[in-house]
Amino acid sequence: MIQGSILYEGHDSDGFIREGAFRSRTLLTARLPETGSRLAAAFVVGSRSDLVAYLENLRQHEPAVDIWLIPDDREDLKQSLPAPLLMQLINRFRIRGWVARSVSEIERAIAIGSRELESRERYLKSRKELGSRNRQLHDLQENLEKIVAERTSYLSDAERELHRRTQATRDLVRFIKDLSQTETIEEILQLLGHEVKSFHEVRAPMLALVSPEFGARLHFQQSRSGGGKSSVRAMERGWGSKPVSKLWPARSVIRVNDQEDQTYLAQELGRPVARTVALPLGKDSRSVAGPLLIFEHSFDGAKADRFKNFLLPRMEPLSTALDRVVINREMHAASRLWESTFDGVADPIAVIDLDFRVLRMNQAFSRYEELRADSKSDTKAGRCYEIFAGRNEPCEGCRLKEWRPAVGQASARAAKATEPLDWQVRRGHNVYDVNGYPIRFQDDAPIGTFIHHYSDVTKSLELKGHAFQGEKMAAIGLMAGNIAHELNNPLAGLRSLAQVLRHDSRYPDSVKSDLQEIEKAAERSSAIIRDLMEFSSAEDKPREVVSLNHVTDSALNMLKTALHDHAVDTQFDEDGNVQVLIEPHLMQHVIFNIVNNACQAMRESGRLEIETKHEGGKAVLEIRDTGPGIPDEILARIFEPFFTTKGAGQGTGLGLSMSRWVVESFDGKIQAFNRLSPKGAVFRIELPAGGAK
Amino acid sequence: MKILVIDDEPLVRRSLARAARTLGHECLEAADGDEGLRLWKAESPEAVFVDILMPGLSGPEVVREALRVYEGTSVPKPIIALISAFSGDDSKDSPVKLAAECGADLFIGKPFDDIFEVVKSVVRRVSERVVGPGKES
Repeated sequence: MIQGSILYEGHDSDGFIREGAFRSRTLLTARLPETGSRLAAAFVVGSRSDLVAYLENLRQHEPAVDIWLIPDDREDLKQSLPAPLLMQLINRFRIRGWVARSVSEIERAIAIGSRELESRERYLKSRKELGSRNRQLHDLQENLEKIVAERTSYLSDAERELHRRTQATRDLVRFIKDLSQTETIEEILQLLGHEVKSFHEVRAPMLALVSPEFGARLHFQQSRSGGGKSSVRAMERGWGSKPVSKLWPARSVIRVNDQEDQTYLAQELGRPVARTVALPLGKDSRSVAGPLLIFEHSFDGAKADRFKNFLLPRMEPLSTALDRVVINREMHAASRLWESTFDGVADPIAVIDLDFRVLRMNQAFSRYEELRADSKSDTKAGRCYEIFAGRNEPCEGCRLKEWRPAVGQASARAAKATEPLDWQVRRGHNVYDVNGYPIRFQDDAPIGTFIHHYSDVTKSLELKGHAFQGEKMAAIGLMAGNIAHELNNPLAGLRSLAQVLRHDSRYPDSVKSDLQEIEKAAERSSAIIRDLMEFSSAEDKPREVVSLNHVTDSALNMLKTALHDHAVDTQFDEDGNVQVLIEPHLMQHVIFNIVNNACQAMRESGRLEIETKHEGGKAVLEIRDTGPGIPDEILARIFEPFFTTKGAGQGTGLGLSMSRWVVESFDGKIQAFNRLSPKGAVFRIELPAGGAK
Repeated sequence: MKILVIDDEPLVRRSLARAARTLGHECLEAADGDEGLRLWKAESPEAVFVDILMPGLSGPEVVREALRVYEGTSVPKPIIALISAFSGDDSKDSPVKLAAECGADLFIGKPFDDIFEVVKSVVRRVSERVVGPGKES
């Protein structure tokens, strides 16, 4: 079906076109508006005189329609128009060509035109459809883009939020971690001060705290200016603390801009205070005066809330850290108290386990370790005997040593044995009383530790020994005095009688000479008794300036028996320069002691050389024997109290220590050494000559 | 001159007596305080040597007792010498002090360096006193 109309321009006298709507020229311009149909093809008679104008007009109105030229009945198709003009027209008006003046030809052309029209219509329709589709698509795309944009913005917001939260969590974790490393209130405050730095409107934090250590105090951080106008590092943080008269009543809520807080703080600080944020800290924030954290700030409302929210998650860690620090402090103080008590004891004290290892020592004890460290630090000691006395094995007399096996064998006994032990040990020249107190860390636990308390009893032992010696001498003195009296009487009679008889002219000279001998013997005896009485005098006598020779001689008088088996060679300095300021009877003791020792040392008959001399302002007495000498290993110790090589009961071991004590009390010096030729021991006593100080 | 020696030590007693006699004096001897006091009262010696420590009455006791006889009389007291072997002169109850307290004139420690000199010194004290104002009265 042909949709559309056919325009035929020309004569229709022969009814060449039998159907269709060949219309007049007027219809052409109206373009069949009443039917709405389209023009399928236009047939123009090529012989028309106004052909060009007509075509122009037609093309103007129907730019797309197929235009065919159709010949007049009368004319030959080819002749009606000259070829050049025809070509020109065909090109100019896009003419499809000639169509023969026959129905079939025309129908064919119309069919072509209709098809084309149809296809053009379809095209147009589909183009229109396409346009609408395109529009829809465009709308869809726009919508999609909008959605994507929305989604994208939402996602990035979420990401930002996530990031922000992560960062906040990270900050919080870091803060908690940093907090856990703080050891003092000041450090906590410093850390917190740093933490809130990003809030520019807030000042350094303050902490009000009651501590048994310092009472009620306000700890605070403050800005410290570097001084001068160009303070490069002006904002270094310092902290301080000040006692306060009282702390505010505790309330367990965070207060922002609380009037009461601000009033309290202003009173305590003695200055106007900005607005405050106050956070109660501490596990028990209901207590009368729990720790309170205060910030001065100049926030407006919203920012203050933000600050509060910032602080909220930090409250708990802060409380914990503060509790820890305060408890640490208190523990520290307690431990310091204990330690200073421990160290304050002047006697050495050590806590020792059953293997003699020193677990703790006080300052007095650690001095021994320092001494050791000075001399030889190659072995890192740790045992009491190593540190205390530099020994490689437990000290002689140590009762921990004998107590120890009991632990393994009979733990029941050991567990009960909580009685302190005591014993004596030697350290160099000194004697120590050791008290060992067993310690049990838990009830029923076996004892694993001892506290050893060492007290130096050398001096008191020495004094005791000297006192004992003194008493002994006093008893001997008393007895000697009585004996002397008893002897003196008959001696006096003997001597006097011999004297009287010697003057009697009736006796021959030989008898008189015998009587003189009796008199002399009696006189000698008297002298010995006098020396003995002097020697055994128990009383403190004043020092006097005497001749060392004389004192030595008197002492030797009482040693006649001891010296009986030995040759005695005395060389006395006779210049009179050996005057010394001493207590004669004490000095006699010293000489007696040394000579007696020498005689005992010389088992076989030996020679004793006794010399007094004057050497560089000193009066010197040397007593040399020909005995075996003093073994090197004990040479250094022979002047120690209670040092003796004699068996029990033979000597107190005080003799030489007494001697040293006596000589030193005269500002003198006593030494012992060995000589090689002749072999023997030499004792040398030096005293200030002339008694001059 | 009559001299009394009171001493429980025979040798001392005898040597003093011999020395005194050798020097031409009369000498009485007593072996203890009681006998000495009896002889002293009976014989009124001009010089007395008396030991401090004796069995029975001690020297100072003898002296105190004997001196009571002279109280209220014009009889001249003898020169009294305490003698003792216990001569520690710095002890608390020193013989010198003891002598002064009991009324003795001097103390002589034993043993004597020169027995004759001991006797002579005492005799000298007696004669000095005899020559002095006491003899006139």
